[in-house]
Amino acid sequence: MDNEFSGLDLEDINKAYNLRMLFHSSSNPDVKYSGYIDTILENGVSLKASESCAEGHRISFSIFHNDVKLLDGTGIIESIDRESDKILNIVCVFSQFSEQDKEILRKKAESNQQEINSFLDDIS
Amino acid sequence: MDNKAILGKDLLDKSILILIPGRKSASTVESILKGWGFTTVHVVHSMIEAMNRLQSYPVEIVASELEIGNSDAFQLFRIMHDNHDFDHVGTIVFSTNTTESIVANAVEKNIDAVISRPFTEQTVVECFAEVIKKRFQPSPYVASVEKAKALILNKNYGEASVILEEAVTRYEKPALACFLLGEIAIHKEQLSRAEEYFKKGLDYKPRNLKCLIGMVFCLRSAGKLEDAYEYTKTLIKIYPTNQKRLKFAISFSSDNNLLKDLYFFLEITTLVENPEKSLSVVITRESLRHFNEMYKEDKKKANNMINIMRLHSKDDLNSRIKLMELLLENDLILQANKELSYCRKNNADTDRFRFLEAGLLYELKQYVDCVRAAQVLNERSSGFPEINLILSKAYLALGDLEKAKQYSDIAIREIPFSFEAKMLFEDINKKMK
Repeated sequence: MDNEFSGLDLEDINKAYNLRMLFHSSSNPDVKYSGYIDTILENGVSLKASESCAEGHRISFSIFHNDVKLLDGTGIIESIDRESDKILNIVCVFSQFSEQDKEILRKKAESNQQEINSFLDDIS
Repeated sequence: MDNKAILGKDLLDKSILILIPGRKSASTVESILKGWGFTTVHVVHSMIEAMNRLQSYPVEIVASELEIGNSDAFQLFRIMHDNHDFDHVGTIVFSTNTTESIVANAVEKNIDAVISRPFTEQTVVECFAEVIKKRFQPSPYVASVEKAKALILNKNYGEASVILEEAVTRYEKPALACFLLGEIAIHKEQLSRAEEYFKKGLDYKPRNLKCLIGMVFCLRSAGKLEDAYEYTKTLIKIYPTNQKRLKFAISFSSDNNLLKDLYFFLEITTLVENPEKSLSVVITRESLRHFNEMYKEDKKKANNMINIMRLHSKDDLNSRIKLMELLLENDLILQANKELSYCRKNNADTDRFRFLEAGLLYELKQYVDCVRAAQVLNERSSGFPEINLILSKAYLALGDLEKAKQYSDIAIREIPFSFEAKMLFEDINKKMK
């Protein structure tokens, strides 16, 4: 066996299926936070995160699927519940959250699920 | 979509247990399911509540959030899997940050479905409907496989084989049936037959996790490590964070000098959530030489590697002394110094440690400390005559020619074939004149 690289690539493996939101408080743009979108709400989203700026803070956010930006905008952190030592449930209300924006997220959520189902079918 | 039309009343009455710690999130799922006509939905928020419910009431579907406090859904399903009373129960995981590794882990643990968050109402209902149909209205193929599984559990391999062989000829892509036939062959200690079945399963579904695992088992048992390694690489692509397989891949690539692969596998360990649990890394001179080369080109990567090695040998003082030796041999002096601090803190006092300590202190130009460490060893009748060479060099650096000559004389006597000792001896004698 020679020492040629086997063609494995970190980018090829462990593909993620999530919608990640990066955000920062409008009053302190230097400190960035991130969380995974848990639920798409009528007026925003709820997130699971390990840390967050405080309730009532105005935020600017961007939502990504892997490295692709889907949306960005502004909003407010409506509530934070501590689910466990590691997990916070954060509800963010968006200043503008159009039907079109919601549809983008819903479509991506559905395509994520289809890809998971197809991967699961492939390997089981 | 009319869910009653999809499932029928019987299936909508199946008893569903939802374990989701977040109350809002749990009530969202509950209301989706009830809204679609599911009649028996019970919600709990902790593992203990879920276990109590499972023991006291009949449950037919369990859907759990992946992360449950300090535990996870896989642990709950493992407990259920070990207790065959729950064999009929359908299982679903909700996950916020879903990756292929999480899905593969779910498949390996016989979990029926993974629902990725954020979900839509439709995906949740479709997923539950799919699992309920699979469990309670199975296709003829799934029904045969389930029947065969139960027979295998009762060690009735003959009858199970007949059912499975028939399934292989009758249905499309019967990879799971092939896997079970391979499993039976392993029970009968017919390894090459098992290998044939797994291979056949992979012909139907090249990424079938269980057949790949079976292949690796057979090939490793037969000592065909090179082939096992190839299948392991495919497995790692699908399920990169499985620790046992990573350990084999690291060990094989290290033994066979596949250094780029080795680096790749080590790098994967940094992606594992809890790397300290994941591996005991095989440290070889060869692998460290490779890191040393990288060190020149990419300091960050090499440091990362050394940290991984350090992390994995953290509880074992001898491994840390060995790492210190390898780092010293490879001129990674500052890294070796970190190991020295660790070993000192943990009261290392073996002869080898003292020898390395003196050598390292010399390299760090801490000549007084070097002499002190070397003397500790010299007072013992150790098997390290080279310590006299270090002492001689250190005294020479300190300008004490007499002492340098004294130890150089001993060194040339005790290690007469050492080129370095000879050169030093000549150098000191020249200076003395």
